[in-house]
Amino acid sequence: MAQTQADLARVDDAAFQESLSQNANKVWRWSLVQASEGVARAQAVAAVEALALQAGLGDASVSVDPAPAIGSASAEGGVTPITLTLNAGFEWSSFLAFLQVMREADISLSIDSIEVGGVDAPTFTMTLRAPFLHETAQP
Amino acid sequence: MRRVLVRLAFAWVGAFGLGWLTGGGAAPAREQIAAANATTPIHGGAIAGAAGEKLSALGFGALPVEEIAAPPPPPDIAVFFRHDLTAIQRRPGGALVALIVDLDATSGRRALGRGDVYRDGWRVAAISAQVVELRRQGEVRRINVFEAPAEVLP
Repeated sequence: MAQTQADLARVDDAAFQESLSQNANKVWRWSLVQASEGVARAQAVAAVEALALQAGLGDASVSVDPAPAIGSASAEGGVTPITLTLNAGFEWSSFLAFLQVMREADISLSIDSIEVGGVDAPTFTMTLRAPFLHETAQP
Repeated sequence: MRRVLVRLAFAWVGAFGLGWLTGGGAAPAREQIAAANATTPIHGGAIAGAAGEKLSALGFGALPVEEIAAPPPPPDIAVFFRHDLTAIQRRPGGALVALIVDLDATSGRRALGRGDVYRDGWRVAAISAQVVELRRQGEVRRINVFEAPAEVLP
């Protein structure tokens, strides 16, 4: 509340407006901007699959959490996370390469959890979150 | 002259007052920018990339060093000697010499007596009708020349 009041107090300040604009631009660039959440989910799966391929992960498969995004997904202009699950063969070199390509990715992917299993053929399961920006539908 | 001094005094006072009025806003502006930066969005991949760098620094993901195969043991000088030996001959003086094949020699043969160098620094230390003893820098190899080689033993 205090932060909001402070923001409102300086809303006319040019430096604050510029900073706010830059941050909004970052959110816009790093998010999946779609009018449809279904399209955004498909786009997120394709993006993670492309990153896995780029990193050289073996036997990679990506699935998206079927549950609707938590929060105000229905609110146009709102940002909500899309949860994805990546399964792939675990090998240190490709795993570290995947972390690097995540850094260079267009969309901001955050890691929720990583689980490594298997002995003879180790695999890992990574839960990721991608921001979905619900674009205002054009009339 | 007095008029000029009065103008200078007014100019100085005016400049000071203007600076006083405008200078006060600088510090709050910096605070506002700092506050705005505190809520700057962070790319999720930056965190993952940093974690990857730390793991790499700890040695994870480094390619395993290929194990260099141990060099084969040096060949047994006895095998060469048995292979090269053609005869043990007693010379008129009673001394024994070993006649070996030596393709570098003009006759293709060479006689080795006590103290002669066979090859690779191995020197003949003793010769008997049954055994030839070779030495090299403290190593001693006694070769029973009429004993069947190990590879042909049953």
